[in-house]
Amino acid sequence: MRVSRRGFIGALGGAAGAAALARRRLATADVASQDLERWATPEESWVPSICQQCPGGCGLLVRTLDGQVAGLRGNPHHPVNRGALCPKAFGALQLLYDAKRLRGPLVRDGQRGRFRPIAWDEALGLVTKRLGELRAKGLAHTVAILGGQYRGSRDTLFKRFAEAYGTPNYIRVRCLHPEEPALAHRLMQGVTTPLGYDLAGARCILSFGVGLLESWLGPVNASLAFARLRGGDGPRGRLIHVDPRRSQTAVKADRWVPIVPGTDGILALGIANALIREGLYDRDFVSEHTFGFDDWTDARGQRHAGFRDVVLGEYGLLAVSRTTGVPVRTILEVARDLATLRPAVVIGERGPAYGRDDVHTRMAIHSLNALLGSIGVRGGLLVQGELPLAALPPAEQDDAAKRGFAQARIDGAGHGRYLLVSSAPQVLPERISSGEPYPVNALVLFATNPLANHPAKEEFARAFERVPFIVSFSPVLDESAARADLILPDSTFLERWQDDHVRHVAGFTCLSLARPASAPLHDTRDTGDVVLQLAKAVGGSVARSLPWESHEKVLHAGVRGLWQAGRGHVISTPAEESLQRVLERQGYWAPQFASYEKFWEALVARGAWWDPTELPVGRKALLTTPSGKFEFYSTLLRQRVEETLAREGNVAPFVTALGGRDRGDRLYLPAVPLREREEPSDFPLRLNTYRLVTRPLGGGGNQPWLLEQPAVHVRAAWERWVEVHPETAARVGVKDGEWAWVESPKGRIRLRAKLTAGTHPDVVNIPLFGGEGPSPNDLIANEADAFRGFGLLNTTRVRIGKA
Amino acid sequence: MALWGMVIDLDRCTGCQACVMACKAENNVPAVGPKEAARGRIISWMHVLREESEERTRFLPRPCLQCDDPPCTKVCPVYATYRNPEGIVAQIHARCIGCRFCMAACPYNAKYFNWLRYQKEGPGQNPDVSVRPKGVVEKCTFCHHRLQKARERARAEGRDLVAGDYVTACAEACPTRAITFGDLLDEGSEVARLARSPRAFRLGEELGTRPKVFYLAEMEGHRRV
Ligand code: SF4
Ligand code: SF4
Ligand code: SF4
Repeated sequence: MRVSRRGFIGALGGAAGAAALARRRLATADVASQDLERWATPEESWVPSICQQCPGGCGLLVRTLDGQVAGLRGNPHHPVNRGALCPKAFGALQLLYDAKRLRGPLVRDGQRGRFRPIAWDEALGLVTKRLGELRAKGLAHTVAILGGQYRGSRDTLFKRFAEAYGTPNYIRVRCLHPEEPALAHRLMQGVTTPLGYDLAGARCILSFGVGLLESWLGPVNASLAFARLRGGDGPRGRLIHVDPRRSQTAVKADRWVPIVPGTDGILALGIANALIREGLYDRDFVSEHTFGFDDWTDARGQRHAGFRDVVLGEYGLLAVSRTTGVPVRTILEVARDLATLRPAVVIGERGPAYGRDDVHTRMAIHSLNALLGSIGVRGGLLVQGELPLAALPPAEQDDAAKRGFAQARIDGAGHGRYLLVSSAPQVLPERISSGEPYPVNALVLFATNPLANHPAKEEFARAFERVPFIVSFSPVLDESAARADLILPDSTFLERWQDDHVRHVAGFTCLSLARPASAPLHDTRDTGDVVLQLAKAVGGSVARSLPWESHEKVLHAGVRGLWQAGRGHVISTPAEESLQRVLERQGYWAPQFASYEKFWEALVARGAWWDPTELPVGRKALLTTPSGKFEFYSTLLRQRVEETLAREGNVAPFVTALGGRDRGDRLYLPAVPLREREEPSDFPLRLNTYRLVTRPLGGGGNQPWLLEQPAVHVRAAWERWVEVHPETAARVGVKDGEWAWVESPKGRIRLRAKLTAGTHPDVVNIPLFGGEGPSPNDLIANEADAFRGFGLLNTTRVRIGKA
Repeated sequence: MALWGMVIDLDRCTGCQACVMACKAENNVPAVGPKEAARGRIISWMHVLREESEERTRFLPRPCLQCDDPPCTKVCPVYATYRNPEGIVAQIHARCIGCRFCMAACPYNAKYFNWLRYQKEGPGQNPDVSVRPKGVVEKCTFCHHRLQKARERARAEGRDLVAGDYVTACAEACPTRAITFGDLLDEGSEVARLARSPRAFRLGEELGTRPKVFYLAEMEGHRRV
């Protein structure tokens, strides 16, 4: 049918719009042939959906013709992206139609790596049997669920399943936790929900290595804010970007500050020094809303050095300049820009890893926000309100569940070295391989491919051999799924119900909701539905905890809260939106819909609900520390250390992870030790990895458009490369476009060298490529950041040579 | 009669290539694959160039510039490429004999040749654009099919075409709102206003091709360190 339609249009000499024209003519001529009608007039509809190629959660409108997806564009009314998109969004079409997608469930056939098709019922029966047996034997806790980067109801379902079934081991492997606040925000402000960055309202943005316009928490939203800095409807603002690499964000910044890698925290303290010395900081905010700025005496009469003295005494501009490689004049100018272009916001969340100085570096960067008084003000950091979703009834735990759930987590998250993290996936392979503290009898993989995309991929591969039963939900036969015993392919995001909450965008709360834009193309199922089906099959309290028929019903139950909240709106046209705003400013809020069903219908038809008026600009909600103030001296961190000492009797692993020795007060202050430059070693260069704007979650190995034109800053197509400074390349005799070996203590890979002057000579840059082929994960050891639980993607030492 | 044109603000363009991918999805432009790509045969109607100079780098998205006096149409022996009355330079694939004279004549490398049959039959294609067989030239059409659809819609609703009814896929996607599209003859339109900006310039002005794609130069504030 479709072929003939295409043939017909082709035969018309490719006149565009032929189908539309044909429709009119047919209609007027009253030709009643049903068949003709059908091929000439595909039924077009635009279905709202949500891009899941990165954590940005942009709203989409998916074009369907007779129910078949045939294009997409940004949802013009969606508050996150207002119709704009990034290149990855279009890859979704190729993800959907990927010829390599699995056609249905597969079961291992003999040895691992060989498969045969299996029916869904039979496959689910296998999982149920296994899960039931383990639970009956009191081994529920030996089931581990490894989940990747996703948010919303699917997270809720897995969490609930783990709880009701009785395993503490729901472990997330991802470098970013959008639903948790950044650690520095947690420690210095006491917040328990993420803060929003009001980029759109800022006049000056200082970014420490975060790929604001390329990756970070969603490049589209940040790009829209950037456009406003560039003179949208106000005076031109400034973007200042600190980065060893001349990234796209650095190119577009008004000022690029190249820096010795890893010294961002010291630069931040240098800027703090300049702000304080020149009296440029926000005195009112600092005196009224902060703690630990001046020297202070505690209840026991002990004196403590304040932030000001530490900064003025130890982070003089000359010393800072020597360590960071940033000229004194630049430090001063950045400080003056921040102080004069208000509101200004400083971003150090996510971005590069700083190894053992990670927490202190991020605290140092965040302390600039306090000095600038950019907390709880428009254009700064704002509280991100909670969505008023209806609370689900609590999960029910029977004895087996209680026993299992009470066991220690296998990855040790929340203890010792990993005191502050909620997941430590990097520890998993070692624990599985050693069988300590207990063996893992079943492993569930969802939306993650650790055998390719984790620095510990080799260890993961070995660990997999020790697990008797592995279930994967991967829609393709990726490296990890290939080692599974059972694959229950998930539908792609255009084929299933989904929701998303974007948490970092300030000024409003928003829930996106989408129905399937198309029926599943293959015999795949929404994993959300599968989790419910499994719960039902396991029975008892597990089934009672997850009583919904389908994923859609779960969403329907939660969304009811939005309708009942008595605030917010289903997104609408700009005209309607401004009317609502006018009314709201006068204190009116009128329900748009007579019943919940009408509300739900509208939400599904338009794609999102949001509450633009809910602006908790006040500082109270933002400062929930013991002192009720912004704490330069983190009493929360001290509390955690003291509690742990009391509970576990030993806090050494944690303090070591925090920077080594006993640092006294320095442990709780944003103080980053000024280290001497390292001596050159056998591996004199530093590997810096970064994420391209064209790289979707999971790597995008199935998205040819993105692979063919991955970047504009180097010439490359369908290949992987390493960016080398021309001087460094000349030293080892590598020319542009030649093959080079990049070698670390862990291993070596061969890549094409691209000479780019826009990098520190001692740094080589490799974009993070996913899936098959040489990748930085072949070089990066399984050293993980104890605080973010992810690999240290830019601290590995390497050398290069001609290949 | 309208005169369709585009203004691209280089101060905003971040080189993200959303415009490139939006164009590919809209116009069924396939990836040609590693082998063909290595031979320089990537088809990218919208292509983001990088200009590097002493003081700065800038990204320059280049669609077909829709020259008002197009050198490419003059050399075509079979009238497969022509300037239509609204200024859009069209390409009729069914008529193209693949001589590639127009490719040689275009000073902006905006035309692409189908060395093989790159387009595959398959689901997910936009039925509004025509199929390109092996051996024909293709290029950016300002998403001309969207104009036809917008006209249809306006006519069905019994009204005139208004600003915003017809936009190209690249302009719609651009996350920095760097691309503005519209009728250059409509004095009040955003595109006409920007085209008159003191920052506006055109590529290869001296060639007399009179492109209808304007660029806005970067503003102050670009410094390296
Ligand atoms: S930023 Fe790009 S990849 Fe991320 S959600 Fe938005 S369109 Fe998708
Ligand atoms: S989408 Fe916009 S910002 Fe991105 S490359 Fe194209 S013109 Fe530039
Ligand atoms: S840019 Fe090239 S292809 Fe486009 S109209 Fe001008 S000469 Fe012709």
